[in-house]
Amino acid sequence: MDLYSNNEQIISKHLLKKVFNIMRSTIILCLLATFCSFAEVGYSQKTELSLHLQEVTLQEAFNAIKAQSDFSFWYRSDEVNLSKKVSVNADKQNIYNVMNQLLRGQELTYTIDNKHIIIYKKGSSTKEFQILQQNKKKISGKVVDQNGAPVIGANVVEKGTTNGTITDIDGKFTLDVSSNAILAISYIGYKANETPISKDLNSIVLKEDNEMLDEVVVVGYGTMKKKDLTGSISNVKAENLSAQNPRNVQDILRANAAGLNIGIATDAKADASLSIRGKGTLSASSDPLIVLDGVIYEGALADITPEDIASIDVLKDASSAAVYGAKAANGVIAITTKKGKNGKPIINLNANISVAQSASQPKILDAASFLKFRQDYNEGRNSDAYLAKYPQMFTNPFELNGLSQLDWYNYDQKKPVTSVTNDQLTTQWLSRLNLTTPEIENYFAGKITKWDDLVFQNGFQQNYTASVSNATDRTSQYFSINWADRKGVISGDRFTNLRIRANLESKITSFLTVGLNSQFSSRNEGYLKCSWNQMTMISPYGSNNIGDGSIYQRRPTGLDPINPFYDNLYTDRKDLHQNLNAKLYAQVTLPFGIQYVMNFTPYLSVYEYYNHYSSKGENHTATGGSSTRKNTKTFNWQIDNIFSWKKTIENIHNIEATFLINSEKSQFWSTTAQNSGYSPNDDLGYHALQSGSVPLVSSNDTYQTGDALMGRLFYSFRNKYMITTSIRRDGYSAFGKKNPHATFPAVALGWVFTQEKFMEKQNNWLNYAKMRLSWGENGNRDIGQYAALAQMTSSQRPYINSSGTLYTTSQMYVSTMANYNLKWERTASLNFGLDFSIFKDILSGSIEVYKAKTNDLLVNRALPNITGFTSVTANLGQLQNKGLEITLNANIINTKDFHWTASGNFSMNRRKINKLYGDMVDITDEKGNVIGQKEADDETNGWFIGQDPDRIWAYERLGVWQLNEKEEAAVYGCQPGDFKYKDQNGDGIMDNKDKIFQGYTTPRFRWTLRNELTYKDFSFSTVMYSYWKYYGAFQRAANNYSFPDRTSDYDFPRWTSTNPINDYARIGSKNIGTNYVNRSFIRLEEVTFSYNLPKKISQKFSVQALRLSCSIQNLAVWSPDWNFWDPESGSVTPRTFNFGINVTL
Amino acid sequence: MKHNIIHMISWIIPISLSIIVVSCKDSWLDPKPLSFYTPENAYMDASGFEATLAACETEMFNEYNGDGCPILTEMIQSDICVEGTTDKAGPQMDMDKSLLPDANLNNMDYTRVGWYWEHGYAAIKSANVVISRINSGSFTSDAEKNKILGQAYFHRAYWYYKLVHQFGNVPFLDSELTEPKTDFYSSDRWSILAHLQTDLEFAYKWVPDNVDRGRVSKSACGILLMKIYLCLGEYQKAIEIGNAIVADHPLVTERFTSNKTKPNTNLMHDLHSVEAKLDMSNKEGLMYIVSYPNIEGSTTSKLMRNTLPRIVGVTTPDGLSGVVYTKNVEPQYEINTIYGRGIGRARCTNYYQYTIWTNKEKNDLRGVYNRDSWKSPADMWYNDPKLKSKGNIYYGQHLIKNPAMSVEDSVRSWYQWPHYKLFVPDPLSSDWYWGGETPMYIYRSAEVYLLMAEAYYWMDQPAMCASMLNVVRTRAGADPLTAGDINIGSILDERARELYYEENRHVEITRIAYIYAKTGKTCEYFGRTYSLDNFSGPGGAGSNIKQEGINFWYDWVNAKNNFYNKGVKHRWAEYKISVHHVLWPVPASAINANTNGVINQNIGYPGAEKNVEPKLVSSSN
Repeated sequence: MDLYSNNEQIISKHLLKKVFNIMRSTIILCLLATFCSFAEVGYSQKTELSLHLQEVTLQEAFNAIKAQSDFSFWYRSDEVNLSKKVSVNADKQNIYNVMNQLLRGQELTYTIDNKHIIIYKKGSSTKEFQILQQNKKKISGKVVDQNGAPVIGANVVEKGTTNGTITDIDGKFTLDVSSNAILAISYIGYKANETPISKDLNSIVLKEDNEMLDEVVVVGYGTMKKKDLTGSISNVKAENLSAQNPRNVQDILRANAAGLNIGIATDAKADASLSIRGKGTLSASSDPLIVLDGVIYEGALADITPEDIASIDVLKDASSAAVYGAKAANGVIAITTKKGKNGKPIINLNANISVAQSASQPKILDAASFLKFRQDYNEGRNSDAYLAKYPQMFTNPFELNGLSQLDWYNYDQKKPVTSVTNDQLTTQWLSRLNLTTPEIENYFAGKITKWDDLVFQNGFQQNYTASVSNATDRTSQYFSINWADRKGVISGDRFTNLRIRANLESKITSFLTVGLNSQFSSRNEGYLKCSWNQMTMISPYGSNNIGDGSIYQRRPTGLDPINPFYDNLYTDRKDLHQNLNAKLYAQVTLPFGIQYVMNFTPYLSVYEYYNHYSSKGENHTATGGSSTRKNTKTFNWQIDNIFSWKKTIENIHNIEATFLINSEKSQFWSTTAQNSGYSPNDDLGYHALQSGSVPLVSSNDTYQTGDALMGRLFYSFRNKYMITTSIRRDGYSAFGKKNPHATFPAVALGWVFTQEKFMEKQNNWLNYAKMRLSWGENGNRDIGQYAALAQMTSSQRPYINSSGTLYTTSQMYVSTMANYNLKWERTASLNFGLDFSIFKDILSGSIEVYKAKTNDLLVNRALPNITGFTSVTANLGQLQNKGLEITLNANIINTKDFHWTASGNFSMNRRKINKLYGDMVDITDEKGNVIGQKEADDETNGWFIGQDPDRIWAYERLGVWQLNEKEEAAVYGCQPGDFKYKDQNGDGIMDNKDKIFQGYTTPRFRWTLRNELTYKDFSFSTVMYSYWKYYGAFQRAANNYSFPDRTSDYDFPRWTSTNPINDYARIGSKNIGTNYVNRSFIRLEEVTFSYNLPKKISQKFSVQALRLSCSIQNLAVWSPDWNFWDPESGSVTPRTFNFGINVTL
Repeated sequence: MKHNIIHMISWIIPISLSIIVVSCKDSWLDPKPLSFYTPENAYMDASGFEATLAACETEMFNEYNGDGCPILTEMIQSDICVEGTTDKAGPQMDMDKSLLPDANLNNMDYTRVGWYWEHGYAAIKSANVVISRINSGSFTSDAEKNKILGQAYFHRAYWYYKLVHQFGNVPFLDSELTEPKTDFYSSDRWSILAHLQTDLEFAYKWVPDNVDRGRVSKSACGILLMKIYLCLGEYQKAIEIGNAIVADHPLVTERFTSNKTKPNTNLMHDLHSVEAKLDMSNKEGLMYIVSYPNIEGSTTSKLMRNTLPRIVGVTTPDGLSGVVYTKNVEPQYEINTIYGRGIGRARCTNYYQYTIWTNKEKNDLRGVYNRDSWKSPADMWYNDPKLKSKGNIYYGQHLIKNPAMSVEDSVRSWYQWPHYKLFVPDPLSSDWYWGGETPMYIYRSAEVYLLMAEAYYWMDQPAMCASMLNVVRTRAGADPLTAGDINIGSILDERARELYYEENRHVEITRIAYIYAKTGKTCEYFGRTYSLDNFSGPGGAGSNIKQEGINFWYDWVNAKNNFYNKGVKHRWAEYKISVHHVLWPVPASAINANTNGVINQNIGYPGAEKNVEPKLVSSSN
């Protein structure tokens, strides 16, 4: 008889359960510890115990041993009397010695299998044990994930026994099992697997648990299992995206969470805007709150190394964000950085090199088209009478039609000449086309400059990260250092960043853990971009004369256009941000199961902006050089005191309570010193301000404080019904005059209805579904810390005293009107969510519907400017947002070697102003009779009751005035070739009455699509996103950007009398309105290809893992109507080719 | 172990509690302004009030300085100048199109009509803050307090005087506003003027004459009071004050300052030089605005940029760009640092360039016959060293006007300018000389004589009128006028000769138009009388009436300005004015934001149909 086949008889049920409970609650730790013990020689030999017990029960003795070691005890309850009194005296003795003492005089004996101590009646079970040993066979196998990557630390147990092991770093395991055993394999985040040993054990595939229901997400001042969530939270696993070579937090988030909108990065710094759902404010900031490792983060996102990020949670609905109350109306982005992991130290090295090039770049005029441009301009700008008097005035003299070159030449000679040379003709022609002498010289010399080639470059970018992490039972560490050096696509653009992180945690006693998460960054933003937009200003005949000693070095044509590189040659700039952010924390276990956490979070930011314009540059000669030194320091701190309490009652009731006491203070100091007129020279630049003669100083300091109290209660019943309620009371000094405090409540409900009886029949297709409903209120305080006060602006004003001497004194005026009643903007929002998983997780996803109303809007309310103020900050009106977000994840193909998953999201948001200032105005009929009243719009700010603030209210463009519409155009002061806007009321005057509601300036729909394919060690992914149905101004289509007689332009189409098009105007047109063009686009944002070197090969070089990756960011963009630079940024946007290597040692 | 826990709690809880206590203290959340003043801590004594008066003086300064500064609009909406930047759409050329309530009314490339509205009221706000809080300050004496109050009255009057001539009936605010208000109504301009009279009489009594330059003096209050008296028909009172001012402030008649020996200069160069305004022997100035290179708070005037022709586009007859503004030119052909570089924002009309300089002004130092005082493009040279190096025959020759020059180019680049008045050195510019920092006159006693002359004109005393004009004329070298020469034109012409870039030309013509309309006095110049009833014409948005005889401003400007309504047009616009442009459009933003009241629009502009009867302002203080 097999000893373990009847284990109910051998091992008490109760004990077994207890063991598994312990196992579960310490999952990785225990497993790794077990693994370690396997790797070592005999845990039982090595472990030393010290016990001094007199007359205790056997049970107590066992407990004492377990407290000092990892041993577990196995016995038949009918054979062992646990209440028997025993004594033991052991000082650094091994387990055998201890066991012998304990069992002395009893009819019991034991055997030790690693950490398992099996106790049995002397004699009776020896045989069985022998049988066990004989029947056992050694098996080995390998556990891998869907991508074929080894699963390290997976728990492999012989089913129905406690005989088990965990997989090693290659996913491999060896185990002695009985001949017909079934292996139960489990790992957190994966579905449990059972494999009979008769099957192929060399690649046991663990499937990812797609809902990741046990995944932990950040909910603010704590974490929660995803399955318990009641709010709307999107989780982004940063580690999964590392092959894409993200440059910053924004790159990680872009296109990865429905309802989170990330702007596009255009320069080397690659900063981009963030917003969650619709903008819920009119005047205050709409930036989401950033929470880093559980604490509100005031620093820059650029200071966070993307490789350090473990995951990011986006808290979208009001109840999730409500715990952050007064700051959370725009949603919360919670970033969690990596921690040390138990096991042997992991060293990770990551290197990326990239090349960025300008994408979607429009062409500029080349030499021939430039001359045609000037000819079209001049022919268009002169009157018909003039052109009749001087026919073919602007035609190339060698292409004249029926006109002698001499007559042509004599047009502008006071004394007509009798002969003319070819050079004279050409010179005259170019002069009529407004070319200046240097341009004419370059024409003759055939010297043509392609300015677009000069101002753009292939930007070389590098990014290196090294991190070390490890952990022991008592401490964990994660260190990283990152160096990024990126050149942008604009010549001169560069950004460097040094970032260091240290996350440390130490368990001081069983009830006290202290830790530190800290980061330092040093960002250099002082590199000078060339003035790239001069490329359309300087003609191809203007040349780059820098260094040639000529007077055309700064102004290549002698006129307005400036050489894009000149000014930077004589500018010396330091623009350095050095920021230190830290979280020091202590976790204390208090009686009654209360956990107390105190976070102290200081933030220190030092900024230096030093700039010198050298007198050697021709435009600064007269000032004798001028310099600025600006030093600013920001010091903020916050203290969070968090009390939390968790209780599970009979596995049915789960209760969690959290309570917060917080206070914060933020201070800022800024000093600026300037000087100019240096003597004897300004060679010392900004290092010797004392050598200047025109000193100026100024300073600006600010101070703000805040506090908060928050309580949250979570309750779930049978993991089926759950409720979260929270309330937060905030204080903020900006509203300190009259309304220092405000309270923000929230409540949320969840219902896993697939667990209901009546749904059981649907389980064949609907595996899991949860409904969520939440309501909450949040505040927005980002209006400026002194917005409630009447502020006086002061500066210096010169006067002349009675002796004729100049002096200065302060001038000072009230620049903002006081409003002591100012308070928080409050957004109340309702969110309905549905999470589901169907067809055995082939398709899963969530649907969110929300409606938010912002009351007491912080607005810069327009005032009649006769008050001397154009606006006053006030709490007025109501803005509404509603929207829909759909997220879908699909496992399309899932075979042993090939996997294809796709995920996508769709979101839309609609805004509407419900109320503004409450001023009522009369509605009149056509005769002027009052027929009712309505609330007044704010035309000045473009805010209309019942309309989206993003709605375009403007003249309606019909096309271009054509030749046969000359008279009609003249009514509006326009001419053929100018943009034609509709006079809606036909009164011959274009004014606000002719403005109508048109499209929107924000996308009506957004969608993203991500595909990931893996084949053995190769993986391939793509990301696409699209903004649909929105409009942007394209004023350059009016062809009147600059002065065409002095400048060049992009190679745009243009209206001429012989090319009567409707979408571009004549050169130098008069444009009385705004030309809106549809910006809708689809972008292929990311294509990534990566290869994991097989372990077999890499380990020959002592490398645990090695990944090579290639990716292209912003590979292509398709915009049917927009063709001027990138449709999203409207400006220079890079396309980046990355190559990355990641090595784990 | 238990002991340890208790120990821990014993120190954690107090820390936590102390934080709660700190948080709950009311003072924790008190806002603390650190780097700016608030009205509560600013108006303690005279220096706080004076700082706010300085803010009014900054607005005064800004009207005359900087690129596309507001004074140009006053010049363009008159007889002496038109907008000359013919290289873009937008500038105020066709007033029918550019002066509309919804148009961009405050932009240097369009018009600064809206600037006067916004900044006039901004200065009034500051003056009202001083007036409303005067009793809460502590002063060394009543005299000190009354001086400050008087100066505040002056500033308020200074801007209302402009506003009632630019916009007619406007809302009158007489005290500080401390909370949002949107129920304003326009006030009757005559009652505003009467209120200003009372204020200025107080100011004239209390403000001392001996103040630092840049501050409001008694004489400044006096000259503004003279103008108000003229508006209200108090001619004799105006003359009394005028005589008192000129007694203390004689005209400068001898050459002075360090420039007096400079070649090719004369007394007028001296009077308008930077040095003259720092010279204490110069008593002619009554009110100044101050700016100076390398003195904080100074800004460049951009005077030459705004007013000089853009000759950089003038090429040699053989097609080369011949004028450069670089440092490598031969000194005798230097243009940049001697004359400056212009872009022709305000282009002189024939009236100012030719008409007003008659035989009687042959020797006038201010006039075009004096070629030291006036310059034309033809006085400049082809100075590009490149021409010399190539042996081009035009090098060093005077500029030649191209016979095929287009309308745009001739408007912009070929006209004469009063160099003696418009040149300001630009020592901090190493590039183009646009016009540097300088003090300027706001009022001079020359204008006092001209106002007295006008008072005599309205009183039908032509001989006295002529004698007042002749004080100014004689000083400049012009022949004296006789009583028989006198008509309104002699006064307006003389003001143009003397006060170019100083007076608000549009305001002053409008003032005269109002006096004609109010008094019914026959304008002998046109042989017409005018009435207040249809001052802006019959109205009707878009009707753009071009009929003479409705108001004097239109008749005079239409007659004297050789651009407006003469068919002068180019690619961008035709130069046009209509009768209702005597008053400017009230910016629609002000009317729209005033949801609980009615700010009137001027007749002739869209929106005037919603007007209500203007309120009367009481004149008692």
